[in-house]
This record gives sequence, C-alpha cells and structure tokens, in this order.
Amino acid sequence: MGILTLLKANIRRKKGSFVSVIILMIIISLALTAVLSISESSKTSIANALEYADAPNITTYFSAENMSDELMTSLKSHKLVDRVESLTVANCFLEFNGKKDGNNCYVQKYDSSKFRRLKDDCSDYSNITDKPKKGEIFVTQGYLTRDDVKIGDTLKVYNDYSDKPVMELTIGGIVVEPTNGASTIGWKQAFVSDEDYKTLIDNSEKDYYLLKIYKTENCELNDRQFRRQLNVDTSVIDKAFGSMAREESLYYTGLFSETIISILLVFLVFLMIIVLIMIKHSISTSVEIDYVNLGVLKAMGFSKGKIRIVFVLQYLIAQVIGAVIGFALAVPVAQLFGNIFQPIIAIPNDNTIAVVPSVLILISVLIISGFFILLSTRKISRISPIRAISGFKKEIYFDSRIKVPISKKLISSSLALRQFISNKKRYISTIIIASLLVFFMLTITSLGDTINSKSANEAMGIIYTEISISLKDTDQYDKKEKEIDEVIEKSTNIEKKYMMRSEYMSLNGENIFCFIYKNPQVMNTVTGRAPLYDNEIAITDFISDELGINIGDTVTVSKRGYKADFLITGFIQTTNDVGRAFAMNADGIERMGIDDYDISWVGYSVSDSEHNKEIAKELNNKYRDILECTIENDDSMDGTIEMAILAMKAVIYSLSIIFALVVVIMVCKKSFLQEKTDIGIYKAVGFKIRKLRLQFAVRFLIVALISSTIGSVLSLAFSAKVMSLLLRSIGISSLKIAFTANTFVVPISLICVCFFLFAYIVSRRIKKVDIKELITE
Amino acid sequence: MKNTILSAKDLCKSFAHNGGQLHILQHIDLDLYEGDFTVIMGASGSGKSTLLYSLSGMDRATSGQVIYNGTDLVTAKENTLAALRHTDFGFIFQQMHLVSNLTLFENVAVSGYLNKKVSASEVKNHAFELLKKMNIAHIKTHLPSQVSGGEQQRCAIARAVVNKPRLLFADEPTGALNRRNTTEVLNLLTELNNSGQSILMVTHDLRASLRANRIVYLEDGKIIGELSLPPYHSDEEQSREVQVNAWLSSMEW
Repeated sequence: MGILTLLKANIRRKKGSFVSVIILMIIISLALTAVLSISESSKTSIANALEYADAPNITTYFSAENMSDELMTSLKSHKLVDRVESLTVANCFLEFNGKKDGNNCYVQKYDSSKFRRLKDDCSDYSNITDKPKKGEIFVTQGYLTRDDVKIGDTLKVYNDYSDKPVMELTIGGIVVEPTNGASTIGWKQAFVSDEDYKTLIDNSEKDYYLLKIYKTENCELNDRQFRRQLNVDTSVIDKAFGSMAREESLYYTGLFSETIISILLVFLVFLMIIVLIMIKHSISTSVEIDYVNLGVLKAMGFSKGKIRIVFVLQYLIAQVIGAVIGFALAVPVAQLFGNIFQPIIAIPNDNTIAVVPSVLILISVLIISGFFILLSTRKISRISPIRAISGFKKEIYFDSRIKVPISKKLISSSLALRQFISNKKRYISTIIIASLLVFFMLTITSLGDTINSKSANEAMGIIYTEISISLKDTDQYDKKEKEIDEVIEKSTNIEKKYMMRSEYMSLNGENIFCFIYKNPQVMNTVTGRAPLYDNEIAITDFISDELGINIGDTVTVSKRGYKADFLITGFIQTTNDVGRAFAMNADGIERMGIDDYDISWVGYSVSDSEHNKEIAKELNNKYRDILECTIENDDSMDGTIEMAILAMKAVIYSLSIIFALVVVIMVCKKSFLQEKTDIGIYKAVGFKIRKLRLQFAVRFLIVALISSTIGSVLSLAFSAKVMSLLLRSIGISSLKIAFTANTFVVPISLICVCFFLFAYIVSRRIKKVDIKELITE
Repeated sequence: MKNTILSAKDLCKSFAHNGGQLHILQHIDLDLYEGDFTVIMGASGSGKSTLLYSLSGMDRATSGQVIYNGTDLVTAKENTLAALRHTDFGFIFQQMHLVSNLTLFENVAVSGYLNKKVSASEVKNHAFELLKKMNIAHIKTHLPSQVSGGEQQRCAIARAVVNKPRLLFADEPTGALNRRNTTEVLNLLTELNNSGQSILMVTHDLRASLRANRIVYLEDGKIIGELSLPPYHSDEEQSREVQVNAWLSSMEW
C-alpha cells in the first residue's frame, strides 16, 4: 500500500518525466512495430506471389543452339527433378520514351491463372483476368519504377539484338511476375496477345526458351544447392544465358526493403539506448532534487528496496503505456506505409501486422529497461537519513580547473559557458544522446553523398562512368575506337575507359554474374590485384564467403560446356547482382575456348561532364550503326537506392529532431528545478528574462556543439564500418564514405539550431521563476 | 527637509486562502527618504518581508501604489523593474544567495556588467575596491562554498552596492550569521549609510535595529508605530538599546 501511495505521488509530481518517457516509448514502439510489420508483410507478400505463380525452383533462359533433346531428357530424368516446363519466348529489349532498357525482356503469352493483374494505380490486385489485346503489352510494376512509365504509354519492342523495332505496343496492364518482377532485378518477363506473340516469334532469328525446373518434394537441397547439383550432373546452367533460383527471387525482391529496414532497426536500437540514458539522467537528478524527501522516507522506515521499486515501477509503467500506445498506433501506420516498398518489389503488400515478433521484442526491451532502471537507482542506497533531515543541501555546481572569465560584452555566453563547465556531469547524458543523434545523421547523410560521389564509388571499386556506349558492331568499334575517343577528347579528358561485357558463368558450379574486361588494368580492386593474365580472376567478398574461396585459390569457371581453371588474384566490389559477381580478363574467355564473347559495352569516366549531352549526340549521329551512346551512370548505385536513402534520411532526421525536443524538455525541466535559486538571484540583480533565456539556450548550444564534434569524430571513425555491415547485403562490404564539408553542415546545423531553439522555447518557464524564491520567511 | 526616494500609498497585498482572502499588507502609507537607514520590525508573519519586496518591486502589491522616480512599481513592466534592479536598487538576502559557480569577485562584477554606461575595466576596479572595503579582497577568487557565511554576506553587500544604488534593500541580512559576523555586517551597512547610502532593512534583531535612524513597526500588515532616532554612534549603543527596547515593548514586541 505504501509503495502504491508513493508511486501515485511520484507520478503526479513528476508528470513531465513520466510523459516524456511515454512519448519516447511511443515513438520507439510505433516505429519498431511498423518497421517489423512492413518487413514481415513484404516477405509474406513475395512468398505468396511466388506460390500463386507456381514459381519454379529454377528459372533458366536458353537460346536454341544451347537447347537439345538430350539436355531436356537428362533434366527430366534427373532424380531430384519433379518436372520441367519449357516455354518458347521472344528475347526482346523494350524502349520506353526513346530510351532503350538495357536488360533482356522475355516476352510470352499471358496466363491469367499464374500472373495476377494489378489495379491501374497498382494499389492492389485486380479481379480483372482479361488477356492483353492485340497491340497491348502487360509489364511488371518494376518497369514502371525503373523506366518511369505508366499505363497507356507506348513502347517499342526490339527482337533479339536487332537495331530496328519489330512493333510498337501500348502498356495495357500491370501484372505481378514475382520471379523477375522487382525493379532491382534486371531481366524481366512481359506478356502480349497471342497474335503479337506469334509475330515476335516469327520475326526472331532464333528460338529462345524459358525453362522452369521444379525439384521433387523430397529433395532436401535448397534451391541453390539443387541448381548446383543439377549443373554438375547436366551442365544446364553452363549452357543457359542465366538463371534465377526461387530463393534468389525471394531474396533479391525483398533485398532493398530489408536493407532499409535493417538500417532503421539499428537506428531504433540507438534510440532505445537514448531512452535508457534519459531515464538514468532523470533518476539521478530526481535523487539529487528529492534527497531530503528520500532521506525522510528512509527515516520513516521505507527500505531502500521499496524506494527503488517505486522508481522502477514509475518508469516501467511509463514505458509500458508508451509501448502499448505505440503498438496500437503502428497498426494504421504500417497499413498506411505498407506499400512504401511496392514500387521496388512490384508486389502489393498484404498489410500483415507482425504481432508476435513486435510484442516479443517490446517485452525484451521492457525487461532490459527494468534491469537498467534498477541499476540506475543504486544511488538511493547511499542516501543517509541523518544527513537529509539535518538540512543537507547538495551544491549543484562544482569547482572546475577550467576558468572561463566572465566577459561584459558576452555576458550571456560567458555565464552559460561557466554554468556548463561548473556542472559538466549533468550534461554528459545529453552530450551522449546528441552525439549518437549526430553520428546517425552524419552516417546517413554521408551515405547519400557517397552514392553521388565519383571518387568514393571508384575508391570502392564500383565502376562509375559518365558516358556509356552499348556496342552494336564490335569489329567496327575496334576500327573506329581512336576516332570515337577523339570525339570525346575534343570536349573533355578521358580519365578512365572500361571495355567489357557481362555474362552469367559457372564458378565452381554456381551461376554467377561475370564481368569480362578487355582492359583489366582499369579495374579497381579492394584487395589484391586485378586479373591481368588469362588464368586469373577477381571475386567479391560475398563470393569468397559463399563458396569458401580466397585469394590464391584455384577455381573452375565454365560456360556452355567450356571450362578452365583460374587463380584468384584479388577482391572486387560491385552492386551488380548484389555483389554475387566475379571479373576476368577477355583473354581468359579465349583460354576457355569461347570465341564469340566480344566486348559489348564501353564506359568512359571523364573529367568534365558539362558537354556529355553533345558528345552523346555526336556519337549517336556519326556512329549510329556501331554504337548507342547514353550519358548515365550505368554501374554506379542506382536511383532506387538513392530514393531509399533519402527516405531513410527523412525518417532519421525527423526522429532525431523529435528526440532532441523531448530530451531538451526533460533536461531543461530538471535544470529549472535545480537552478531556481540561481535564476532568482540573476533576476534580483537585474538580469532581464530575455538575457536569462539566452543564457540558458546558449548552454544547450554548447552541448550541441560538443556533441557535434564527438558525433563527427565517431562518424569519421565508424560510419563506414557500420554501413558496410548493413549494406553488405546489397554488395557493399567495404564502404568508402565521401566526407565533405557539406556532409557535416546540415546535420550539425540542424542539431545545434534544434537544441538552441528548443531550449530557448522551453526556457520561457524562467518568466515564472519568482524572485520571492529567495525570500526566507 | 529630506527628499523622498520612494513612496507607498494605500498599499495592500492579499492572497486567496481557504476560499477567503488573507490580507498580508493593509493600506500601508510609507515614505522612504534619501540618506535614511530605515528598519522594518514586527513579529513573525506581520508582513515585514512582503512589505520590503512590494516596495522594491520584486513582488507586486494587490492594490495601491509604490512610486519611485515617477514610476509606479505596482504596474511597471517586468523589464522596467529589471532595469531598476541593476541601476537604482540593491538587494541583500538573509541566505546571501551568491551564484555558487562564480567566484566572489565575479559575483560582484556580474551585476556591474549589466550597467551599460560603465566600462568593464571600471566595473572590475570598482568591484575590487568594494571587496577590499568588505575585507574579502584576499579571497576574491574563492567560490562561495569555500568561504564563511560572514564572508559570503559581505560579498553579497558588495554585489548589492556595485552599481551605486539609490536604495539598498536588506532582508534579514544577519539572520543566518553568528554574533561576530553579524557585527561586521552591521558595521559595513552603517558605514555605507554614513557615506549617504539609503537603506531599508527588515530585521527582528534588536541589535540590528539600533543601526537605523528610523524604525517602522508592523503588525498584521499595518504600520502601528514609528520611531525616529539620531544617527548611530557605537559609543551610544547602550542608551540607544534601552530606548529602542522600551519603544518595542510599547509595541508589544
């Protein structure tokens, strides 16, 4: 009963802290539940879509010359294979708004029993099962996102690798094709009417097949192991253009949402640490302020254990209330933002609420908090009833070795500095909190800057080019290469020139994306050196981990029945196929026996991008039959990631500002209680309220500046490491962050302005501090 | 004929209490004169401190007027009162109330810095002179927590007069001091008064009241008596004590 009475009294008297903890917990609980729900929902939606589409365990793409009855027979009779479906498709390239999409599109007839339509605004599945009419094409939402098109737009269809379009089609519908549909996956499938399909097939130079391979129910191998085993036994992957395991579809489709969610979850962990620091600060100052009352309670017979339980319950109740409200609010929020990743995953979200994981995590958070609060109340044990009752009054300021003179001209600032220095301990919590906020804000800002930084991309080994050339006729290009380079050099200097093609190849039986360089010396490696000789390759960190191979190891690379052993000489980094890639020398391909893999792409990194448009125009006019020039950064991180990072930046900045506000309010309130007398003295000697408020706000500006310095140092030291861990899943394991002055300006200014402004606003309470506080009746 | 510095007219102060009104000050009329050392005395709860703070503008009366230099402090804006506090009024409190993270010298100088008409070096020189006068110049770099109560109160007096106020308000300045420190503080106040400083002091200490040339007695928020005395001389203290004691007895003190 005594505990209950004390608890009620404490909550009533410390409403400010109680409400602040509730608010902070609401934010954390809301964000956590919403983020987990969106993640869970995305995964379920993708899995359901794959299930509905009866997605095969392995999808492979073939051209006629590599397909044979023998291969089909060996596949169908394989002990792990349940069934194989072969579909003749048209291998096309689509041109939207005058811009040709560089990725293959396998056009086929529409089967409404497997591929559901989306509503025109893509908000949900549609009940319409109509097939495409003649002149219409159904594409996935991934195209809409990637190529910025909409229903009703017209596109040109190029068959095989021809220069002239076979037909023009209108986008008549959006379908969910979960194997390749996501905007982050290059190759796509699209659907046309039976008549258009026939026209495309009839106009094809050769047949192309989409092979769907299903494993038996009792096959215990996962999809990738199944594919490897199948390749070892039948060489099916070696002979294919490429393949996609069902597990990979699930992984690649949800990859970006998962990466963003991971970053946000780490941020939430930081926020939770901030809440705990805040609670500790609140307990410490409460014990200081209520020293006498607590001593009296002890003298009355309350044990230290009982008093500590009151504190623990007080904060835990606030946390539980916050967690429950946050959880309840997360339901509409998750539904509202559930479709936020849909443009990327191209599958409608089923708005699942991750009840079990969210509740379990929240309960864990509360248990950890409970222990932490209990530890924070240790001070109570040291309170002496005798000292408390005999009028003990703890000085709030302490002597400091640092003596900052009080200046007449800068009286507010110098007094603020003195107040800060005299009680540094009180601001430690705030400094830690603000440092963490600055660190996270800087990390996310620098990540955004890095994406657009040429030097940072190059330092990371990622190919960054401003002028991109797709070759139509490699032989002619070889003859005109010097001439073409001169066109560019008329306007700018060529800093780097990449000449390559890319293919899916088998590396120790695994189907992996491969860069084939004609000029491997330009390759940037993270470790080791580029594969300069015909028996060398460079791999990524991921391939190293996945296949258990390293620099110095020998591996087997195979394709279309050709194979050779290669020595690993270095590590490269790429976002292509989220880092599942390796690179080799064009001579290596020849050594394998393949003689028709000419380079298909040339990229130029130039010193001055100002005239790139004119260069592209001139090249496209002069060498129309040889090449197609575009001026985009084909291989640098794409706009989708940039958008995702912008969204994360918005979330992190907003939450940081809200946290800064709550923290400043909490700290200010406690400071007022502790400094009431001082404020009264300053008022009594003639300080105006504005000056005192300024003095108060300057103190928080000092805190923000110190925190910004610490946050910046932390960011310089750890941002790249933290983000490398988080971005590993998209192919970046060695992030080189491009820190510039601009990286620091916005977050630091924002934190400083927020702390100063919030403290100034909260300090209006100074008006209420009466000089009568000083009167001893 | 003495000049009036501050004049209270029909001053009332009341609080809402248990559904009714508690009248702390009732229709006070009081003039304070230039050069006077006025003391307000009265029993506990008589309203002495409330009167002092109402007269100084630190507290606002419920009704009536406090006229200083043509300004009514009862209705004056907060900024006007703040300006008066660092130019025309000085305050000494029973609990000293020095800013605990400022040295004794800084406590004095900070008040001086608010005066825009005086340069920083002048303030510093004047603050140092005052500390010397208060006999605490040797500990000017000490923090309040490192010095005795008497030294703190001497510093508080120096702070109160650093801007050369026309009127010095003192609320029980010796209430928290021992006998030796009390005498030192009273001597300083007397010295200040002798040099022309007008002082209004609240006290319930008979020895402190002896320093005044005018004693006002308050009971239940009303002035019920006033005693005028010649200027204080230490060699006449005993006879003065007898006179004041007799008068206070007549007030049923």
